[in-house]
Amino acid sequence: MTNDKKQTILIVEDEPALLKAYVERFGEEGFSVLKAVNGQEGFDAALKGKPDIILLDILMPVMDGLTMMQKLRENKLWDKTVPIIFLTNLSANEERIMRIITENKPAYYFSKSAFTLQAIVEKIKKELAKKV
Amino acid sequence: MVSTSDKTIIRLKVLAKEKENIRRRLVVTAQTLRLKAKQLAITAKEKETIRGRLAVTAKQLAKTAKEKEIVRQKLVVTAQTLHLKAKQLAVTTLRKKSILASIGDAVMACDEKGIVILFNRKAVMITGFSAKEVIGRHYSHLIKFVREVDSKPSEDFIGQALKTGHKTTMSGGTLLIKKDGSKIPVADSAEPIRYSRRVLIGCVVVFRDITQEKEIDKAKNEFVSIVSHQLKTPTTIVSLYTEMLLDDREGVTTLKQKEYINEIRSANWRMIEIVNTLLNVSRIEMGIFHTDPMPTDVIDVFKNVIKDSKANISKKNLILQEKYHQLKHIVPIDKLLLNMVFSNLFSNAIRYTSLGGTISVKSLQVKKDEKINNRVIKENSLLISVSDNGCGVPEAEQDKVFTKFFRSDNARSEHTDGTGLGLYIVKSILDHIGGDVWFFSKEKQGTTFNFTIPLRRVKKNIKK
Repeated sequence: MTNDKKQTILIVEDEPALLKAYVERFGEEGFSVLKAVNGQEGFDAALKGKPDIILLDILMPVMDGLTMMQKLRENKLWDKTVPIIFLTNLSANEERIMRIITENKPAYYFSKSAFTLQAIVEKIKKELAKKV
Repeated sequence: MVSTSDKTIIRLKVLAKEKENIRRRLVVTAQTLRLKAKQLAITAKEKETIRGRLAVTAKQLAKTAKEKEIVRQKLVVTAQTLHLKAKQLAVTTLRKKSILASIGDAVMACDEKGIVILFNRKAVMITGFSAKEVIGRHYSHLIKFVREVDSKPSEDFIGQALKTGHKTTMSGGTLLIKKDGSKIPVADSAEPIRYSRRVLIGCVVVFRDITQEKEIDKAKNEFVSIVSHQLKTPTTIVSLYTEMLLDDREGVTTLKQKEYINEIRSANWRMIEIVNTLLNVSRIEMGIFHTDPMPTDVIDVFKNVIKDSKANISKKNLILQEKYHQLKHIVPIDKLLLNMVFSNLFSNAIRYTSLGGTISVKSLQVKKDEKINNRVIKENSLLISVSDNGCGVPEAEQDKVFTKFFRSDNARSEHTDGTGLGLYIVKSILDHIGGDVWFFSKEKQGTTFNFTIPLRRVKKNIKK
């Protein structure tokens, strides 16, 4: 990272093996990594840890990713410019997802199986560079 | 004084005169008699003639009577035969009626003008209309079919059968409006009826309620969808960790190990592709495919697919010929769907063409009602053809090419991988966006797939 301050990423994913891979990779990339295993935990962690970017799964127990995003956007304490990147196996072809994502910019969509870790890392770096 | 002799003479003279008178009278009488005899002779002759005539007539009468008797006898026989036949017919009709009545499918027959002449029990059950209400009226008055997608009247397949004299099949996703206004999914066909194989005298429409089939289909699709989603997570995990291993930040992986990891990775990619294909199919079938028609340069999409396939083309030393229409065609279409259509056809061409073969991609503008390879173009379109000189599709299997999970015998023996879903997806997508697809092929000589993209109108939604 070129910035002096370490950037914080929140990763919300209920599948342990995937969470582990993301956490390790982003740690290697120099991020300060926060993690959560469902939408509720993610919501709390986001308000408490104020991440610069969120990597969010959609289908999760307790609270799903879309609900978590909507709840964050409605919360006054929350910085609405924080980009959220969805990583999911649901398809963007499903209209509901696309609608919610476009209503909640900046939010992006990535299909887990179609992208490599490298591509995700690059996407996130690009988003953060935009903000600065 | 008169003497005696004189007296005698006078008497004699008187006598002579009287004699003369008598003679004369006799002569007259004789003449009269002769005349009468003559007349009698004539009368007799006439009578004889009449008698003769009468005799002839009598003979004729006798003959006629005899003939009449023969006819009468014949009539008796015919009447008996007719009676028997009527009895047989009654039995046959009854049998036919009960056969028609007990057919599990609804049967409706129309005459050449479309007037309903038969409406069986099942048809009554499915539609809610009684035979009395329907028979004698034009089929379109009461029996209405609409499209599931937009509730608009569906194609008049019955009218088409009557007009063209060819069997027609109702397109998928058709609903029948019942008497009470409710709608049920149906599948059916109209078969023209011909008299002595030539004159069209009407058509038979057979339709059935497919509510249950649809439900089963839906359950199956949901199953496929759930399974596919479940499969996605493990394949993603494999994908991420093989990537991390290959990344080898510690620099400890040997070349041999990298080779093995690459094998795992490519097998995993294959799995991901299969799962994605299955998901697309179930989405198409469940009608939840979201489409996003945006102005798109059609050829540009093709060129991107071709660019991505360059490695495979050169690996097999294939010659690629491209020939596009001089105009740029910007069409409102979903890029992703167009990409899926073309890449399926193009990758098939690469896959089923042997080393050094030729693949060609062409585009041309076609007009409504124009005939291209015996195919009538439905509307002004861009026609794209993808041809190869590869293994071809055996003739016996050609009608199954667009069915789900179909793979031809020769394709299967050469390439074990393949889901048999690609062309099914191509056809489904084109059906949805109002395009058309067909092909011609000769085994061991090659295949040409043609598809059309409507140039003006693009049906907006695939989703419900």
